[in-house]
Amino acid sequence: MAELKTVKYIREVPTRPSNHKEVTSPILFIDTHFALQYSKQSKG
Amino acid sequence: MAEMKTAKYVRTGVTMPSQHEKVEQPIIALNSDENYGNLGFSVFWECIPAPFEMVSEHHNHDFPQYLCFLGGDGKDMLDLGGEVELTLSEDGKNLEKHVITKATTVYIPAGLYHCPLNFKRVDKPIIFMNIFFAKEYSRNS
Repeated sequence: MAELKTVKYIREVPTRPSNHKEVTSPILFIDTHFALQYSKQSKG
Repeated sequence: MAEMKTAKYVRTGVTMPSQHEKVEQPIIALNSDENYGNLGFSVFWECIPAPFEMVSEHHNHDFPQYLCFLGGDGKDMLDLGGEVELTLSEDGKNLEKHVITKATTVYIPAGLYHCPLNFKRVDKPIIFMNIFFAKEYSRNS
């Protein structure tokens, strides 16, 4: 199946480790480049 | 004790009821209103405990939005614990259904059609996070 055109709008949540040893689970975040990158694409 | 000067920067217990009967817990809200930054955005956190279709009709907005789907276990939010179907479309005609089974973020630029949004399988509560960049929420059909 061809890749969906709209797949570029979806990301698995990126993670990074916390700087605090008490925080043992990874930090989940939204990468703001997500928006910047795709807004440039949409302008063609 | 006199109220602290910085109390205006802190809000506690800002909630609203969900419009969906399956969502029993209150929605937690952050609204950057004129008394709280006035930055024109809002964030809502909602606990989805059971399968249901949250939004049936596709629509778009004049403002960008992010939708986030996270696992409800605070120690393992990457484990979504369910399956979510979300339809996206750039033209409102070619509808593309995405099946989400991992912790996922979705960027919805202004004008991108989205929905139906269906929480199809919920093995454990899913945290649904809705961020939109406008003072008021409104839909275009």
